[in-house]
Amino acid sequence: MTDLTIYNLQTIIQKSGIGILILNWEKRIILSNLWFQRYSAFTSETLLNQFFLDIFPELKDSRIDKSIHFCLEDKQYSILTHSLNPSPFPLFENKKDKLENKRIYQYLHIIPIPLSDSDRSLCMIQISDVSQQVTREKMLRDQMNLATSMKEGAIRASNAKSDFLASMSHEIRTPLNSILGMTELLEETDLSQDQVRYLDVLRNSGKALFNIINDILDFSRIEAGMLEIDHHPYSLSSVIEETLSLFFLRAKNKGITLETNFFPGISKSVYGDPIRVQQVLINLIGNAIKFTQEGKVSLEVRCEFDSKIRKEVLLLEVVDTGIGIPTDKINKIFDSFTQVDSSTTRKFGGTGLGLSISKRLTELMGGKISVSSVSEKGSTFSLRLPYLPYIENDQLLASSWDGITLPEPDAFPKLKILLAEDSPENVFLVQSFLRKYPIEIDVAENGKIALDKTNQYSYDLVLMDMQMPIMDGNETILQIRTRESKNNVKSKDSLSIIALTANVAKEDIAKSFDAGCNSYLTKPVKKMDLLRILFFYSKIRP
Amino acid sequence: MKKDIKMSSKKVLIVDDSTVTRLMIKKIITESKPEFQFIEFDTADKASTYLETAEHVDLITLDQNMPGALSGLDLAEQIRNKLPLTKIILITANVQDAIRERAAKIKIDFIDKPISPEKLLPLLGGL
Amino acid sequence: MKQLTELEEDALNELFNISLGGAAKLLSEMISNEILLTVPSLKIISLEEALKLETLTSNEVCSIEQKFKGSLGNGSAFILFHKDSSLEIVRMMMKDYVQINEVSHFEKDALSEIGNIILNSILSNLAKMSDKKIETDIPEFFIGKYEDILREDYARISKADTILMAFIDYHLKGKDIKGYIFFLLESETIKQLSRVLLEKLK
Repeated sequence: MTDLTIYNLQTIIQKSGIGILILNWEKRIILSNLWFQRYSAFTSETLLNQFFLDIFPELKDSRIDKSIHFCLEDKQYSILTHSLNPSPFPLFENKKDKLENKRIYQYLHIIPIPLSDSDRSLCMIQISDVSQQVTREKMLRDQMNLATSMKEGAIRASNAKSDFLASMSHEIRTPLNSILGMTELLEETDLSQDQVRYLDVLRNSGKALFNIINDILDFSRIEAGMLEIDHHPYSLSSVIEETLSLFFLRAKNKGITLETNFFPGISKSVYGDPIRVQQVLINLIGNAIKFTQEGKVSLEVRCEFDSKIRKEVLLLEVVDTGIGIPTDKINKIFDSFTQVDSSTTRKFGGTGLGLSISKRLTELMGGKISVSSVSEKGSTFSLRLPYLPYIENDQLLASSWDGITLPEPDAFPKLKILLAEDSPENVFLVQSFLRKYPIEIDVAENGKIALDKTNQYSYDLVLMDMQMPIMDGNETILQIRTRESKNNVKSKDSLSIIALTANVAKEDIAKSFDAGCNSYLTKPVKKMDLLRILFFYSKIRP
Repeated sequence: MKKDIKMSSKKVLIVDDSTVTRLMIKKIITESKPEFQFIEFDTADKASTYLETAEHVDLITLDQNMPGALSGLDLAEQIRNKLPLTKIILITANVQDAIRERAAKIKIDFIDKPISPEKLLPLLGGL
Repeated sequence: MKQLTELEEDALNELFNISLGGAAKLLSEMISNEILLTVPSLKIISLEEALKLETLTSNEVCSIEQKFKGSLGNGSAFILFHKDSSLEIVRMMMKDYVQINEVSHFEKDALSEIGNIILNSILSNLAKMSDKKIETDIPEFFIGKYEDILREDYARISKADTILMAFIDYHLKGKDIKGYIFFLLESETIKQLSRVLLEKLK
C-alpha cells in the first residue's frame, strides 16, 4: 500500500462501483463518492459537512440511523439487506423513479473505522445496488408460484376423477351384487321349466352386464392412469388351469375342443400380476370360443428368447379355428370400441373394449400383444410377457382359501359371525347364502354399532362392508385392532375380519390391509367364495 | 424467606427465574425502603399457588418469560381482580409492543431490563 | 479451565436474555410479528466437550461469525443453526420468500443480517454492562459440518481457549427453533464479565 498516495486513495474511493459515505462522530458527512452523488442526486458541496439527519430527515430513528449510532458509539459493524430494511436511502435510478419514489434495492454495510489518534471512530456506509437480483428473485418466485398452483390444480382434477370412479364403482356394483346373488339363490329353488329358462336369460344378462361394467370401469381407470399392476410370485400353472376351467362347459356345449399345451422347461411359478394375466387370458379365450363354431381352441405356453431385448419372454398363444379376422380390420382390432363390424356386436355382443383393455393391461405389465389371422381358417392371439421365474420353496397360491373343498352343510362348523353392512339387500343376500349352514349371523348397520357389538360379544369372524355411514369399514377395523393391542391380545387370538369391498382398486384393498383386515372379498360376493373363506378361517382359528 | 416482625412492614413478592435479578430488585428496594419484607419465587406457577392462600401483598414484580405453564402476564391477568390494591410491575427483557400493550390493558406498570434504581423507585411512590 | 459459580452463571444468563430481548424487538419490528428470543441455559465447555454435543455432531449447520477485539480481549462470537432450521428462519422472516431447498445467496444474506443483529445486541450489551469497548468485524457466513466449522473457528482465535456456549430458543409464528451461540474467549474475560455483573449487586 505504500506506493499509493493520498490522492490515489481518494480517487479509488470516488471511482468505486459502490456508494461510499463517511460520517464523523458528530454524524456529519465528511466524504461522499461519485456513485452516491449520482444516485442521490446531491452534489458533493451540498453533502459535505452537513449533518446526516439534515440531509436525510426521513431516516430519523430508522434502522440506518440506529446502526450509525451503534457504529459510532460501540464500534458495531452492521449489515442491512433490502428485505428487512423498510427505510433505505432515497436513491433512484432516474428522475421518473424519483417521482414515483421507486428506490433502488440496497444492501448496506455500516462499518466502524477506528481513528489512530482518538478513541472515537468514523462511520463508513457502503451501499450496493441489488435491484437486478431482486427482480430475478421476483420472477423466480412468480414462476414457482405458478408451477405450484398448476400442480395443485392437476392433483385436484386427478383426485376428482378417482373419487368419481370409486363412487361409481360402489353405486354400480352394489345392486349388481343383489341381482347376481338372487339369481344364484333362485337356481337352488324348485323351478318350473319356464322359470328355468327365464332365469337362464336373467343370469346371462346379469353376467354380461357385470362384464361390461367391469370393462368400462377398468378402461376408465386405465385411461386415468390409475390402474396399478401387481408384482408378486404366483403359480402360472394354477392360473392357466383355473382360467381354462371357466370355459370347459361353454366349449363342450359348442362342440369344440379346449386344450392347453404347457411346454417343458417353464417354471411353475413366476413373478407378475396373476389377476391381470387371467383377465387378458379370459378375454382372449372367451373371444376365441365366441368366434369359433367348430374345431378347437388351444392355449400354448412356452418360452422364447427375444434377441432384440436379449431377454427371455413368456409366450402365451390362444389359437383358434374360428372365422378369423379380415385383413383390412386386423390392424384396428386392438383399438377401443372397434369390432369387426356392427353385425358382430349384434351377433356376438360385447362392448368392443375387451381387446383394447387387454392390450393396455399387457403393456402395463411390460409385455406385448399381437395377432395373426386367416379369414375362415382361424386366428392366433399372442401374449408376450417378461419371463421372471420364481424358485419356489413353499406352495404359492393367489389366495390360500381359494382351492379348499367345502364340507356339506351338516358337517360345516358352527360359527357366530358379525355382518357389518348398511345395505339391507346385501344383508338379505348373505343371510340367504348361509341359511342352510349352522352359522349365526348378527347384523350391524354401521361401523359404530359393529364396534360396540364386538366389544360386547365374541364372534368367530366379522364381515366388514367398507362403505358404511357413521363409521366406515376401515375406521372400524382400525378401532378394533387398536382396542386389541391395548388389551394385549395376541395376534393368533385376534378377531378375523374380512373386508367386503366394491372397489377393486389396489390402493383401497391395501388400505383395508393397513387398517388390519385379514382378507377381503370383492362384491358382488359369490356364495362359494363366502363359504370357503368362512370355512378357512374357522379352521385356522378354532 | 425472611420474616420481619416489625409492624406496618410492607410485603413484596418477587417473581423472576434469574437469581441475580431477584437480588438486584431486592437490593434496590431495600436501599430505599429498608423495612420491606420479601418473598421470592422463580416461576409464575409457584407464585400462583402461593397467592391462592396468601393474605395481602403490597407489591408484586413479575418477569415475563419463565419456565412453567404461566407467563408473568398470565399471572398478572389472573390476580389483577383478586388483589385490586396490590401494585403490580412487569420487569422484563421482552420489550416488544405486544407485551407492553397487554400490560397496559390490565393497567400494570412496565419496566424494561436491565433494572436500575432510576427505573424502579419512581414507581414505588404509593407504598 | 476455570468454571463459573452458580451465581456468576445466572448473571451471564440474565445478561444474554436481556441482550436477546433487544435483538428480538429489532427483529420483530422488521416483520410486524412477535418474536421471542430466550436463553434457556448457558455453560462453559472445552473444545472436546463442544465437539461431543449430541444435537450438533455430524450435522449440517449454518453459522454467522463476528470476530471482535477491544477490552474484552480478542475473540469471536458465532450463532449457529441447523441447516434446516436456517431455512425455516428465513422463511418465517421473509413474507415473499420462496424456498429453493438449498442455502443460496439469498439465504446467506438474510441469515448474515439476522445473526449480525443478534450478535451485535449481545456484544454491545456485554460492553455496556462491563463498561468496556468492543470493536466488531464484518459478519462471516459459513455452511458445513458442525465439527469442521467449530475446529476452524477455534484455530483462528489464537489466545482464546474457553468456549461459552448458550442455547437459544427462537420462537416465531408458533414455531420453535433451536439455535446456539458460541463465544470463543480468553478465559480471564469470562470471569471478569460475570464479576462485573455481580459488582452491581454490592
